[in-house]
Parts: sequence; C-alpha cells; structure tokens
Amino acid sequence: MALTTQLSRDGTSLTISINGRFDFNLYKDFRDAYESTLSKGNIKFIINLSQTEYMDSSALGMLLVLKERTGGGETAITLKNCNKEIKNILSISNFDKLFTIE
Amino acid sequence: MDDVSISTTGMPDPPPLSVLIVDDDKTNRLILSTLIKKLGYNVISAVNGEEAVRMYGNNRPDIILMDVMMPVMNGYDAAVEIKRICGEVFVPIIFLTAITDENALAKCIEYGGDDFITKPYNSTIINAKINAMVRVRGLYNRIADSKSELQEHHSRLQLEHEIAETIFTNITNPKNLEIANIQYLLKPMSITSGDILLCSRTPSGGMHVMLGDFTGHGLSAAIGAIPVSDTFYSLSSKGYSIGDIAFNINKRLKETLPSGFFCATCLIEADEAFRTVAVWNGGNPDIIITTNDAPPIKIPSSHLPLGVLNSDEFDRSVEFIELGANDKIYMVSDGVVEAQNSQGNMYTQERLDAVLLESQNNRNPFSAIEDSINQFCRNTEQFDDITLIEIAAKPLDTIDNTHTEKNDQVLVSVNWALSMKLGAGALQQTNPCPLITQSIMEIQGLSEHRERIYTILSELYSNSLEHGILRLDSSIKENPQGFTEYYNARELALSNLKNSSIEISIEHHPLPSNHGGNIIIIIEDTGTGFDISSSNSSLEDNKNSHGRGINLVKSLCTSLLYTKKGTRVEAHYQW
Repeated sequence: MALTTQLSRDGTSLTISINGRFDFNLYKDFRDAYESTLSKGNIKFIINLSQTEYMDSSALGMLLVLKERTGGGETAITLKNCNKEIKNILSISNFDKLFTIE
Repeated sequence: MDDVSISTTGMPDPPPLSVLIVDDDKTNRLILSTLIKKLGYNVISAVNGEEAVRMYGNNRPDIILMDVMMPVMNGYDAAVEIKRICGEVFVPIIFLTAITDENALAKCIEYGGDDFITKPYNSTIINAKINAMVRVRGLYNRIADSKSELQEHHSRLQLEHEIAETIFTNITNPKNLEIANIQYLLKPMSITSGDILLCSRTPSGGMHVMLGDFTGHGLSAAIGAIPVSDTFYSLSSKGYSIGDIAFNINKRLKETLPSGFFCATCLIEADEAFRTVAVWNGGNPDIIITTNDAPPIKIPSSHLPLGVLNSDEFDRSVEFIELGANDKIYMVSDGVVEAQNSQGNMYTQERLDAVLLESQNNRNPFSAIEDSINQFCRNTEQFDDITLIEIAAKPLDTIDNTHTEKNDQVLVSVNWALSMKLGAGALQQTNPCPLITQSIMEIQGLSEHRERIYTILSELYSNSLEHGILRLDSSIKENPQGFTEYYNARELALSNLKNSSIEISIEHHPLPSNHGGNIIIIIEDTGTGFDISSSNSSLEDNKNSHGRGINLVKSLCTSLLYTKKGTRVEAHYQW
C-alpha cells in the first residue's frame, strides 16, 4: 500500500503515512484517507513522510486542500519525519510557513 | 415460412431475446422451436444457410442455432457470412450436429461458431448452453459499450488537449521573448506545458519577465495561464511594478482556481539601463545571477507560490540586486533540477550550480547548461516540464522593442485638467504614476507617448518624494551595495513620514491646429526645498547609478523648470 492510515487510540489524531512517491496518483487515496475522519470534528492530522521518497507540486496542493478542509488553523496538520529532499521541497515552496514540520 | 412464429407469452423485462433456428429438417425445427419457446425466447427459423443469412439481415436475432449439413448453403458457409455481416456486434452461433468426429467439431469453431450441441437434443443442455452464450454476449456488449465510451472520451480529451494547447501557445507566444538579450528553453512534458514564460516591456523602457510553473499540466494549467498572462501584460504595460503584479496575479488565482492549485513563480523587473533588477521568487528554484570573476549570486524562494495565500496575508516585498555590464540572470523551473536520468537520479541544483560556475566566463553558458541537461536526460522519459531562461544585463535602449502595442486610437485633442493631492498616508501606500498615466491614456488616448509621459511623471515624482520630502542623499547609490542601502533608507523614511504632501496637476491644452496638444505636469511638495543647481548636477550623475535622471526628462520635455527653492517643478510635454 502506498498510503496507510492509523487513528490514535484516543481518537484525537489520524496519522497518514505515505510510502514512495507522493504525487497526483495518490489524489483519491489521500482524500479518502481524511474525508471520513473530518466529520468527527477537531481531529489532528499527522502526515508521516518517513517512507516518502519524493513530493511533487500536486502533493503540496493536496496538503493545502486538507488544510482548508480542517479550517485552515496552524496546528491541525503536522508533517513528520521529512527527509532532506522533502524538507528542501517544503522550504523552496515556503510551505514550512503553512504547516508544522517536525 | 409457415413455421416462423413469435412467442408473445411470458415476456420478461427487458423483451425476450430472439433465437434463429436453421435446419432443413422440418421435424427438427419443430422440436427445437417448441423447446426454446418454452425456455422463454422468441423463435424464428430458416430452412437453409442462404435463408439464414437473409433472415439474419432482416431480423437481427440475438442467438443462432445452426445445422451443419443443409442444401443450397451449408452451416459453415452461413456462419462465415453472418459473422462477416455482424462486424463488431457479437451474435453467438451454436452449431447443431450429429457429428461426433472431433475434427468436424473443431471445424465448427474454426468457421466462426461459438459452441455446438450434439443431437439428440436435451432440454437441460440446450438451456445451459444458451444461457452461457447470453452471459458471454452480455459481457461482450458491456465491453463494447465501454470501449466506444472510452473512444468517445479519448477523442473529447484529445480535442480538449488541442484547445488547451492553442490557448497556451497563444498566451505564451515566444514572439514576446525574441529579444536580443534573452535565450530560453521550453521543453513541455506533454502536448501542453504547465510552465509559462512571459516577457513584457514596461512604459518606462524597462522589462518584466515571469517564469511560472503550475501544479499539473494540460487543460488545468492552460486555464490558470489565462488570468496570469492577462494580469501580467495588462499591469506591466500600465507601468505597475512586479510587487503589484505578483499581488494581483495571486489575488486572481486565489479567487478563481480550486484550492490546491497554484503557480510557483519568479518575477524580475529590470530598468532600461539594466543596472538593477527587482526580484520576487515564490516557490521556484534559486534565481542565479552570474558576474565576471565572482561567485554567482543566488536568490532563493522567499515567498509562497501565487494562488496560495489570501490577499491580506500576501507579501509583495521584492529584493533589489545591482548588476554589472556582463552579468546574466538565470531562472529555471523545478523540472530542470528534478529532471531524472536513466538511473532515476535527479539533475539537482548542485549540478546546475556547478555547470554555471564552470561555464560562466565562456561565450555561451546557456548552451552549456542546455547541453548538460540534454546529456543527463538522454534515453529517459521526461517527468516534468523543463524551462530555462537566460537574460543578459544589456541596456534595453540598444535593443529593438519587438513587443509594442499600437491599438489605442488618438482621440480629438481637447482641454482638460486633473489634479491629485497625496498626504503622508497616501505617499506611504501608493505610487500615483501608473494611475495618472492611465488616466491620461483614457482621456486622450496617447499610447505611443505612454512611455515618455510615464517616465517624466515618475522621475519628477520620485525626485519630489525622495529628495524633496524624504531628503535622501542619492550619492549613497554610488557605493557597491548602495542601491539596497538607498532602498532601505527610503522605506524607513517613508514609514516615519508625517505632515507632508505632494500635489500633482496635469493640464492639457490643444494646439491651435487641434492636431496635438501640450501637457503641463506640475508637481509641488511641502518639503523644505533644496539647492536646485547642486541637486540638478547630482540628479544628472544619478543617471549612471540608477534610473535615467533629470537629464532624460529635460530631453523629453519642451521645457522643465524648478521654482520655489526646488519644491515646485513644471514640465511641458508636446505631442
């Protein structure tokens, strides 16, 4: 599976892990991954990028859509375990200003 | 044809399938048709192959049961003929045969039959075989339907691609880039690119260049390219700065495009002498400026791509870089640094930097980069659009302007005047020159004079603001880092500004002949004034380090006069 999700035991956060390339091919899977959880309200999203090799601009776009769906708050989405290349992509696009990066 | 009958009883929904029975033996026909009618199908029958072919043509039955040995035309030949007529439609043919010889049975299939039933007939087997064929037929039809649907989709997509391509080529017409100091490379991944390269000459003789990289390719990128290029060309030709252009493109993209769709953008603005450039980089790889015998200057992205932020969050601030005569500016889309070779490795920013460092003193570094990219990517599939542009810092007045607009008509010369007074607050947040130039264009339609009028207005206005009111010393600009220092000092002085104002009046008087007119521009400020004679000379020196100075204004006007200790200037421009 290129994408796996895990809801925390207390139900307050959803971790979406992306394996391999994070690009347009994951558009539907990524949306499906968070859409059903959104309705439960006030959930934090953790995007785990430890197994992500590459991220293109449509992946950045998908993150933007998620941010908008969560109401645009600063803390609702955390990007975790970014490798050097992913960090570079996030910093060139200045998306590090929009998301919490750990 | 006495035994042709159609069952009308027990009609399921949808209407029952019809079965054509072909047999020269009347008894066999009767047995079969009774049996098949009982199974709920409509039945028609034919006495030989020839009649079967004719009846197939007239009645288009859904399934055919065909005897092999018949007079006039046998079952094999009839099957071949019927399959030929069917073409793409699947009509199952089941051979009825007493033969048990394996070769003869194989021949049934070879001639286009889909199955066979051996005599004597057994109701259960016939039912099962017909059901199986109905199932195959249903499957076949579904596939055929989706195939034609797919073909329709495909051709619609093809058409949309062509439309997108036309829009994109019209917008990114490289004619605008055929300027002697520019070299560029555009390698789209698919028919239509997601990269956009725009270039425009400004009314004051300078140049704006934009490299944009949309999320995605094809139609969606072409749709985004429309507001981007519209805004770029319209604001650029009115004399707006790249900060304004970036702000307005961002606003339009944010308003019109779905979220998650944006445009990574580099914008540069050069003055006519090409001594300074203003740069705005949001989401694209570093802009690189090479200079002779010194390490290249890199301007990394410091903004978000256009179309992400709301207007109130948008940061329009630009960076100013001073240029030397042999400097060259390079901008690339991420398709260059992320281009992959056959091993799946990326080209990388480091490789681009290295090639530039190695070749920057060569005669043509651009072709060195181009060769390096082509060599790296040979024998591989391209994953993203590749765009590269080199702009040489050559004074633009030595280069022919091939992108001029001549669409406005000169209107009848009439009497009019307008005036505008800007207090401290207005001076802090607006540059009135584009607006006033635009008003003059609207009232009098002088598009050929736009550049000159704008230059006079903006030079006189900035003198009044920067030297009259803000009391800045233009000699700062003679230092190597001077322009940046000057710009910062200007920002600081402007933000502390109180109790000052500049009044701009424009009068227009037609010439006696009514052909042409005289434009009088008066700018008066509340500053303490300055020594006109010494300021004049420093403003003339100014020409070397920044802008074109008062000398140029003098040469454009029929008269130019500073009075009231330099707080009032009156310029006359005749057209």
